[in-house]
Amino acid sequence: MATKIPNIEDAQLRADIDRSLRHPVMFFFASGAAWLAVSLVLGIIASAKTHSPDFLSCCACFNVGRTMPAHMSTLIYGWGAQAAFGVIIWLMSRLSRQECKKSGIILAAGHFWNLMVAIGTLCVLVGSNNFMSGTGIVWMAFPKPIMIALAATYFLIGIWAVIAFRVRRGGHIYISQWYLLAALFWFPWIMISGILFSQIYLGDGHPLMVTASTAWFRSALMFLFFTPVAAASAYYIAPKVSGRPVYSYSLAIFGFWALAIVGPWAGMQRMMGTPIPSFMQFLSAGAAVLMIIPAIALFVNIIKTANSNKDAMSYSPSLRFTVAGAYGMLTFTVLGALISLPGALQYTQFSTAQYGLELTGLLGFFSMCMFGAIYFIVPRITNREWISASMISQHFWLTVYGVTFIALFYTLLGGFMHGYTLEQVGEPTEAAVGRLYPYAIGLTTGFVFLLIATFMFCCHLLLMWLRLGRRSSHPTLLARHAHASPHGPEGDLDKLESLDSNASAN
Amino acid sequence: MTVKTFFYGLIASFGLPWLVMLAVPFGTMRSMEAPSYDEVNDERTDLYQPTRSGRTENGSLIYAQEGCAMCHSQVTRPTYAGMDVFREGQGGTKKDAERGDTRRITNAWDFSGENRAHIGESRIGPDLGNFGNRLVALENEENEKAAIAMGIALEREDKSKLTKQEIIDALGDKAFNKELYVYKHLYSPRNEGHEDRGQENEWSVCQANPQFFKKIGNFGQGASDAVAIKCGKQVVPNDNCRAIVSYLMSLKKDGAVPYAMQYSKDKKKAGK
Amino acid sequence: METNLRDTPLRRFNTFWWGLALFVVFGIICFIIKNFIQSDEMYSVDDERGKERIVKREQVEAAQAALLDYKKEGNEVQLPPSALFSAASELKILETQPADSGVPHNKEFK
Repeated sequence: MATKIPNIEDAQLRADIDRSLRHPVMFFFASGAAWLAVSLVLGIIASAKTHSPDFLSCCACFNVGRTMPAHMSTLIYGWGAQAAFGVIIWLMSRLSRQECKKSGIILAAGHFWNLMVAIGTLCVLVGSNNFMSGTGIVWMAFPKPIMIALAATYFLIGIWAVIAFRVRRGGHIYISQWYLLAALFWFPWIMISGILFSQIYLGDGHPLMVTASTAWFRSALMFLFFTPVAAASAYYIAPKVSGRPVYSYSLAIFGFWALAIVGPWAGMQRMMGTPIPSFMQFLSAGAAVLMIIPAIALFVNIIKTANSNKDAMSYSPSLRFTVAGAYGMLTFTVLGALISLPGALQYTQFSTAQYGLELTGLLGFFSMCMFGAIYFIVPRITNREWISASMISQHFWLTVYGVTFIALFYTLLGGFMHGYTLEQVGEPTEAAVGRLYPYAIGLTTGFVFLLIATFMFCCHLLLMWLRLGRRSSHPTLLARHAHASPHGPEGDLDKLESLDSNASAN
Repeated sequence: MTVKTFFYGLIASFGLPWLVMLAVPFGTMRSMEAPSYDEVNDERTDLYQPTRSGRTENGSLIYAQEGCAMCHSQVTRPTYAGMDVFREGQGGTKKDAERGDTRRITNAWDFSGENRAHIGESRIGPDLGNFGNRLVALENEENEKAAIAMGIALEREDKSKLTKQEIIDALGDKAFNKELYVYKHLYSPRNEGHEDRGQENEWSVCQANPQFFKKIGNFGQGASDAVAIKCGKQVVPNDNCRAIVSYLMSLKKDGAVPYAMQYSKDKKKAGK
Repeated sequence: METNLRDTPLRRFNTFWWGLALFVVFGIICFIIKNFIQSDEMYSVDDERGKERIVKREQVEAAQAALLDYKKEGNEVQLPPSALFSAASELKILETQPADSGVPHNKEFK
C-alpha cells in the first residue's frame, strides 16, 4: 500500500496539471481546428481558381493572389502555431510535472493571437493600397504590425512553458523536453529574423536578399518550429501509448542534434539561379537533402517503439496518427531532398512541387502528429472521452487519402511534369498551363478530402469542448490506474476499444 | 547533456548559419558596387546602370500585395539552373533588329528601384522579367500589321524602312496602345467581349482583376483608356491599375551589360 | 511526493525576465550585427553616376565663368554680365519705355 501512495499523488498531480491547462489548451486546439477549416476553404478556392479561373471571379478578394497567401497564413499561424502552442504548454507541464499557474494570461494571449490572425487574414484578402494591406509574401503575408504583434504575443504564451521547465520536478530531462525547449527558442529567433530582414529592413538591403531572407524564414519555421514540436509529440505519444520505452534514446538525441545542425542551413535553394551568392543556393540544397538524416532517426525510433506493441497501434487513434506522422516526416524529407537536388531544381523550382512539398510537411507530417497529440490530450483535460471512434477513424483515413494524394500526385508527379513542360524551350506557356490542369484538379480533390475530415474533427472537438464527450467509465485517474491497461497508466484506449467493438457489432 | 551545453549547442548551431546565410549576405549585398564598362571591350568607361522608367516602387508594391508573384516569376536563371535563357522573349530576343542577340541572365541590378525582388513562387503564368520588352515587340508587330492593312507603305522611296515612330505617327489613332492592351488583360484575361483580339487567350488561367477598375459616366467621346462599357458606364482603370501597368511596362531585363558580366557575348556587341 | 527544490518564486521570476531579455536581446543583437557588418551607406548607382555628373557640371560651370569673365583685348573690354547691368543702370541705358504696340491689352493699346 505504501508503494501506491506516490502513484496516487502522481496521478493527482497529473489531474491538477490537466485541470490547470484545460481552458487555454482547449482554446488553442479548437480555434486552431477552426482555422484549419478556414485555411482549407481558402486553399480550395485558390486551387480551384488555378484550373477554373472564372470561379468566384465576381470579387477580387477570391483571386489566387489573395486567397493563396491567406490560405497559407491561416494554415501556419491559425492552425499550425496554435496547435503547436497547445501541445507545447501541455506537454511541457506534464513532462516537467508542474501545474500552470498563469493559464489566464495564456488564454488572453491566445484570444489576442486569434484576433491578430483574423485581422491579418482580412488585410490579405482586401488587397492592395489599403490602410493595412497584406505583403503578398507567402508565410509572411500579414502586415508588419500584425507580425510584430504575433511575435510579442508568442512571448506571453511560450514563457510559461520555459518557466515550467526551469522549475521542473525530477532529474531526467526527456527527449521531448529538449525538442520543445529548442522549438520555444527557435520560434522567436526565426520570427524576429524574418520580421527584421524581410519586413522592417525593407528598402535597407538588396531587394534579392530581402526575398532570400523570406525563403530562409519559411524553411526555418518548418524545420525548426513545426518539426521539433511534432517530434516532441511523437516521442511522447509513441512510448506512452505503446507502454514501451523509446527504441533508442541515443538515436533520438542524435536526431535532435542532426536537426539543429542541418535545419538552419536550408531554405535558400528556392533562390537557385538568382543573382545571390551561389554558395548559399548550393549549401541550402545540400542541407535540404541532409534533412533525411534527422527524419530517419525520428522515423526509425517512432516506428520501432510503436511496433513493440502492435495492439496499441491498431486501437489507439493517437498512436495511429503519430505513426502516420512519422511516415509523413519521411515522405516530406525524401520529397524535399528529391526536389531540392540541384539537378532537379531546374524542373521543380517554379513548378507545383514547392507548394506541394510545404503542404506535405504541414499537413502530412506536422498536422498528423498534432492530431495524434490532440486525440491524446483532449480526453485528459476535459475528463471526457471522445464520442465516436468511427468519426476518428474517418478523420484519419480521409486525411491520409488527402495528404497522400497531394504528396504523390500533386507534388511529385505534378511537380516534375509541370516543371518538365516549363523547361521545354519550344513549348509555349499554354502547354505548361494545360499540363498543370489535371494536377490542379487533383489538389482541389485532395483539399476536399481534407476539408471533410477537418469538418468532422472540428465538430468532434467542439462537442468535447462543450463537455459533451462521453462520461468516462473510469471517472477518476486514480481508478483508471487500477486497471491493468495495456496502454500505460492512464490509457483511455480500453474505452475506445469497446467503442470500436460496439461500432463493429452495430 | 546539461541544460547549459544544450544552450551552447543551440546558439552555435543556429548562430553560424544565421550569420552565414542571412546577416552577412544581407549586410554586404546592400553595398555591392556596380561594375563599370571597360574601354577595350565595351568602348565606354562609365558605370553599369540599368535604367528603368515608370512607377517602379509603388507598382512593385501593388504587384506584391495582389499576389501576382504567386503565378509569375521574374528571373532568367543561368544555364546551370534552367533553360530560361533559351526561351524566346524570356531572357531577351535572339535576333533583335537593332541590338542583335539581347538574351542574358538576370543580374543583381535588374531589381533596382524595388524593395523586394519578386522572384516568384511558381510559373503557372509566364515569366514577367522581360514583359516590357515583349510588349514593345508586340506593339511593333501590331503596328506593322495595321499599317499594311491600311495600305501605308513601310518603306520610303529610297527603300529605307520607316522608323517605329513614323509608323505610329502614320497610324494616328489606330496605333497599338500598349497600356490599353495591359488594362484589358488585367480586366479580362481571356478577352471575353473583346472582338478586336478574339479568344486567343482562352487557355489562360490568369485572374480577372475588377479591383483595378472603376465605372465612370459615359460622356462625350468616351475615355481613351476605357476597357469596356458596362450598364451604360465606362470601365476605366484606377490609380492602382495605372501604377501596376506602369511597373509591368518597366520590366525589362535584357539591357546590355558590361563585357565583364557576359563574356560569352561578341566583344563588339557587348557594350551596344 | 518529493519536494521540489527548483520550484521557488525567485526562480520563476528570474526565468520570466531572462526569457524576456533573451527575446528582446536577440532583436537587439540582430540590429547590432547587421549594422556592424553592413557598410555605412547603401551603394547606389545613381549616387555614383551623380558624382560623375557633378564633376562634369563643375567643369562646365568653370568653363562658362572663364568665358564670361573680364577680358581686355586691344581696345575691346569684356565685362561679366553682372558688371554690365550695374554699369548700365548707372548710365540709365536700360530705362527705355516700351514701344507703341498694337497688341491688345498692352498698356499703349487704345
